Amino acid sequence: MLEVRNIEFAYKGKQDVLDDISFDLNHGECLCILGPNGTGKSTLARCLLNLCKIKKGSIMVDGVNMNTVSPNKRAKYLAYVSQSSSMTFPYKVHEVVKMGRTSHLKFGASLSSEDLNTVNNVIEKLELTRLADNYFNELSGGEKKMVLVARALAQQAKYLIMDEPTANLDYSNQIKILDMIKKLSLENYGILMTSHFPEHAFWVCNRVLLMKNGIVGEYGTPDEVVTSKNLSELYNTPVCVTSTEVKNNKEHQVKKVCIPII
Amino acid sequence: MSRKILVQKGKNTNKFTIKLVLLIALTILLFFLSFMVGRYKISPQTVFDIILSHFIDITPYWESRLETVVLQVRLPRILIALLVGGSLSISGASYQTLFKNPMVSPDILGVSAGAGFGAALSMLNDGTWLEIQTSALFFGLLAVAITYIIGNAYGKQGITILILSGIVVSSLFQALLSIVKTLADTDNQLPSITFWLMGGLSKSSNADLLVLLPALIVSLLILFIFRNKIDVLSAGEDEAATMGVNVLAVKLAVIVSSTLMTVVSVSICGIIGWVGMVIPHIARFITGANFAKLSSVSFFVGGLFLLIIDNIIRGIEGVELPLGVLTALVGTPVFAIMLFRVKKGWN
Repeated sequence: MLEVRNIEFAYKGKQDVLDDISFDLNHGECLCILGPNGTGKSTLARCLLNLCKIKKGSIMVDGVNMNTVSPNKRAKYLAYVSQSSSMTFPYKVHEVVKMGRTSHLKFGASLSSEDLNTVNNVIEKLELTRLADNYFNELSGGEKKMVLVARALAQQAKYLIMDEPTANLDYSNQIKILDMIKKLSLENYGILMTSHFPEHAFWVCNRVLLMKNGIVGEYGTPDEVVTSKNLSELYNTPVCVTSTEVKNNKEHQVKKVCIPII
Repeated sequence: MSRKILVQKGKNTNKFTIKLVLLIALTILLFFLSFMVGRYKISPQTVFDIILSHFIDITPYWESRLETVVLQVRLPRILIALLVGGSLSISGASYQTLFKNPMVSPDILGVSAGAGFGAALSMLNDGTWLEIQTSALFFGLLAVAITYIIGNAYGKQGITILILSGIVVSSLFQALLSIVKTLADTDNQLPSITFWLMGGLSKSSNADLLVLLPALIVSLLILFIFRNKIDVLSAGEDEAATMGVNVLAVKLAVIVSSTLMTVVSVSICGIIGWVGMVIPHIARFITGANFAKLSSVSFFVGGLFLLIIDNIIRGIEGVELPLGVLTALVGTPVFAIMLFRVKKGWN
């Protein structure tokens, strides 16, 4: 279990960005962090990965303190999918995915056949086989995001931290990524994602945490937390959460959607 | 399906091996052909026999002065051209990958400016060749140390700050160099300083090899150990840290090894621009961005390139053109042609 307890963080000489944040994330759970721009969602993700050093509190994964372990050991518990990534030089897709195996390499050693198998399995699982020999920089935004997820999966960590996994993607790619997040949580990965789309929480997450000005507002299941009242207060603008019936492959489904009132 | 990818990987590895073997064969061929260039015409057979006579019993059929030319003059010069070209190219490739910046060259942290000032200062005091080299070495290292201290004073070891510090420290040592040039006598010291700054291999000796080789071996070993992590750093420091890389350790390893190779090269043959910045790009056209492959190809392409340039210099009778000038004159069209022909992966 990922246990975050009373963490506080501030940039040097400035006010607290995060204040007394606590929550749990179990294996197989997907937690969505919602909040307006600049509220500290990405900073929270960075704190969990020790990219920002917390002032107070603790971050434990399966009983191991993430603030005191080496980067190598931390990488075996927590993997990161950044909002965007660019490679300055022409790396191929399979080379980018192989980077995910770094924490498993022995000192000075090359990738073993076991490492290569893991990489191949991940590439196959995310249906990236046809792109494996393409240049990462020449992929579309959605494909790049899939490769970054593949790199994180190659790391074989138990928890994935995803910073706005659907940012800058069209509907089709958003759905692909969300489907994959759902599958991964069903495969027992613990997933923490930040998002600007509250309805995504209904579609793929078991838990939602609302953040405003660096503090936790509400924490619970999507149905409990993602309400018109809470979202309107969170974003300081009227938001309507409603249900709509949609027909998908001759099947009628009721989906919850969030609509800002203009 | 997974087998299919493994097969693809095998193909890539085979392609790389073929390219590397070709480069090694080309290097060996050019190594022997280079002995023929110069005022004394010596056939490859004679060169081969002179070298071999030190290992097996061959009755000398050549004049003794030819042996001196081959072993004391041309051999060190050819080897140093190969090794310095290789060292500068690998340093450039390492820095470019570490700093995620294709415009970076091995002297980005001020090593060349520091070494240039050190050499000029020694020439101003009528130093011997050894003193000039030692002074260049010392001030080259000092410049990088100052850059690193300033870069870290900012707090988080940001790469942009480090590059900015390198530019600032380079400017400082260039200003000091200008002062030394102003004070130098215009008949002897100033021409010597100017010529040294443009680079050259005319004073190469076997003693230089004894300094260059250990520095190169140690640096290559360090880079080999960290090769995979250097690739990961090119994804960015934060992402590398989340993939288990000790960012500070890898950065230090790259800076120490690249500085060591560059400072020793510069102290032996002056400032040679162009090679360290452009050869890694040519190597990327050949083999891609993977650091292990890139550094191997960079080493041989850089060595070959500098040897060809030095052969041209030795082939022109009556005047010794500066190495640093000819590298740019010959290299720029070569790079432009490659850039137009290979357009992939750089979007």
